[in-house]
Amino acid sequence: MTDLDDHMAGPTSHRRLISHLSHLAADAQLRPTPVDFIARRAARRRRGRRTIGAGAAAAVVVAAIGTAVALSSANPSIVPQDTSTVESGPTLPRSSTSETSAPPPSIDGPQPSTSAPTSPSPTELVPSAETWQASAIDPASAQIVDRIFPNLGMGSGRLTWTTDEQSPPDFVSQVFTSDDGVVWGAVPTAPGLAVLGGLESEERIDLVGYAPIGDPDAGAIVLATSTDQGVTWARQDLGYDVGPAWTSGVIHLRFAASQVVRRGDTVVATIEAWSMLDIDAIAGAGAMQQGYVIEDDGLAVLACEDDEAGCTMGAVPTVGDQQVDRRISWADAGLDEAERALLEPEPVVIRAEDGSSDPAFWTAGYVGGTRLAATAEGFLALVQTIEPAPRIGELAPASSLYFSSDGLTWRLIGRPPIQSGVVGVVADHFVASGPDLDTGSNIVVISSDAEQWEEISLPATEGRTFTFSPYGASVAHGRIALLEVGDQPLQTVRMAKNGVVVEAEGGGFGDMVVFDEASGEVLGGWTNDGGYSGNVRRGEGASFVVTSDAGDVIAEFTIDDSNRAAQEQAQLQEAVLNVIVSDDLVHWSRTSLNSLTDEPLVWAEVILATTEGWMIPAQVGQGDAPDRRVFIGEAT
Amino acid sequence: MDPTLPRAGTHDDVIQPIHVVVDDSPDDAPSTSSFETFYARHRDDIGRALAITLRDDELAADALDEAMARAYQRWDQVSRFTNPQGWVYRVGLNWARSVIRKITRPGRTPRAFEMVSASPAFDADVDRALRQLSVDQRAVVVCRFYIGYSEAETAGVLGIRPGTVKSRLSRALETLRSSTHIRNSAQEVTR
Repeated sequence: MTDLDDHMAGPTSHRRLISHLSHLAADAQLRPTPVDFIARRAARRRRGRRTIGAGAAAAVVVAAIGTAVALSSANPSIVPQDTSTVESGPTLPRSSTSETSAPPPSIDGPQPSTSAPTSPSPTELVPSAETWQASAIDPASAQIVDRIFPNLGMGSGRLTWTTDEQSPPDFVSQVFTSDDGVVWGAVPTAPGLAVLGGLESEERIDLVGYAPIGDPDAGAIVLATSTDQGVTWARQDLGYDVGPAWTSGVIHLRFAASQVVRRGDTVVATIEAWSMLDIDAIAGAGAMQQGYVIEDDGLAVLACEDDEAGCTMGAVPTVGDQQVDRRISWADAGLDEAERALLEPEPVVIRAEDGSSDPAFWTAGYVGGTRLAATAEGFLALVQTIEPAPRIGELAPASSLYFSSDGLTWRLIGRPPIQSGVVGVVADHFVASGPDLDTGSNIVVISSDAEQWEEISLPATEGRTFTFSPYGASVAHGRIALLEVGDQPLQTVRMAKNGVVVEAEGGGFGDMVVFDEASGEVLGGWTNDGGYSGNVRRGEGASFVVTSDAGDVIAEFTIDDSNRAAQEQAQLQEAVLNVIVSDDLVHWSRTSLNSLTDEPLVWAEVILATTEGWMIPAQVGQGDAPDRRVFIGEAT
Repeated sequence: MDPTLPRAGTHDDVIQPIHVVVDDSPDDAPSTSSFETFYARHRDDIGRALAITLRDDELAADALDEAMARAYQRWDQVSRFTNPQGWVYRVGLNWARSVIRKITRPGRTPRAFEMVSASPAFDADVDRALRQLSVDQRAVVVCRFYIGYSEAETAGVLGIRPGTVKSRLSRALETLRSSTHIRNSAQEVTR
């Protein structure tokens, strides 16, 4: 008997309640908000705080770990590198290669370059030479696509996957692949592997994942390779032992997405992981919600911001001891050195493993994310680093570009002036795309030597911008492709009554201005921050009323009035989506994808490189069941 | 948000959400890949938990977006919480409660209250009983019996003392137990 059974009429009611809750949950209608809409909302919130002079600074608590695992059967050496200084960059790769192709590895290592950086600018817009088409998802694949759609951007090229982190035998790890983005199918996966990422080609499937809790090798990072399309698998334990802390019950290590690239027989994978401390177990219930930071001497539990909604962490704490509720020494926390090492933001960044008993580690400070690329000369890793390790109020994201000719020995060759993003080689230039360090706007930077970077001047974007997601850019096959999306704000809704006009921004959802229809005199309004103002106030039994200076009601607007106006006027406005492509960084083509479908485009944020070109999953249509489309581009 | 005008992009409105792509990405953008993973994996579940707690899909969706935006802003911090999903649920719940307190949201009848479902899974008796609970009580019930948190986990997620969880749950279940609908129909089933 559960406590519910104790209180209710017995197991029958227990089941009824749970069943009904499940039914309500399944029936809930939640609009599909794209993830970059969330990013935009977050950006607006931050600007709002700055506007009101809150002076908030980010309280950064960091324990994320970015790990790249390099695998090779050819080179047994593992050479740790000092990453404290920027070393000379390599000579420019002669040509780029596909992530999925397997070119012969170069025997020539990168050499320092003494050439001055050159720019291919100015850029020029030329007619598109690519061919694009929009395809509906194969009906038989629709269910698969609906499940994996959100994770498409996590894949490498054609491959994508879903995983459920549960204990065997219940945990499920599924990988789906598609040749064209239209017809999808499940790929048999290695048993006992929670897949983090993978790469699939006609010749082989490489999956990187971990043995889940409950497995005898729980926590071990594993490469599983199949050369018979998933019938049999060869597993290689990469020797990444997270140690007993993983199961200590206080520190929990979590793995996230992985990117896998291959060049010849060498596979390089990134694995993003972060540790989470059960701070409640140490500092008492509620500490988790308050937040905590790692300090040299122990843990600091932040003070609760007791706003009207409770201790919500609704605003970023500012720096200062007054923001710390209490401090707990390492001794009092009961964390030994090994456990503390997992918490400290100095993780393994690049790790090479070839089966030797003493794997080497290469650390370069906190890593926020890593993107890989295979080139003719080796591998590139664009790593988002924060150095030194951040403390309260510190946030200094930057990117570091590493090069390895063999996937085992890596060295820092430059620091592109972007926070994170994608990297590759186009027209004998290193190319990186991501948010600018200062403005946060997505930019493209290039360099001939990886040391000196300059922002490339793209053809006029006509007020459009590039998608926020790093997956909104692709640098592969010697080409760069960018998604360019127009911002379509909701239009202002207008309604009038008794000589009073109401205009509400954002489809009737934003700030509202009320003015006299004849004179144009502003009578009042409503703002998100200030509420009603002037001669406008909430009405009794009405939405709001407009009064004269004497307080007499001039006009009364009901909910029905508002509903009617909004539904009549604030119609769906189609997003504008273009893809711009260049293979020489000088000539760029722009193709409108809107013209390829008759239905309104709702969103698209991911462009994936395929062998022949690109694939852009998108959502089109209106209503509760928008359709999926895949834009297929073929390079010429 | 103008409480007097309908929310764009809701289930009940003809207006659908418009995809807008940021031209003002945050200059302290976190690791998007890990946040995107979290968002893709957990958004739906958190949103549904909020929906049945608030009994208002529209408000739940708003709360979810707001909570996710806050999580995104400080993802480096939130991601290392023991239960980031619980954090998002709680922030969303608190935000929704603040909205409810600030405004009455006139004319907004929670969709679930209007729901008359022909589905066999819809239990009208249980539904009536659930509607008698406060949001706080429903939050405890949802955490315990929908999400499956323990009392301690529920306390952590909701930011209240374990004793408060126990008392709220006790009151909630007492309400459910004392519901004529529940008691009578349950007796009918079990006798």
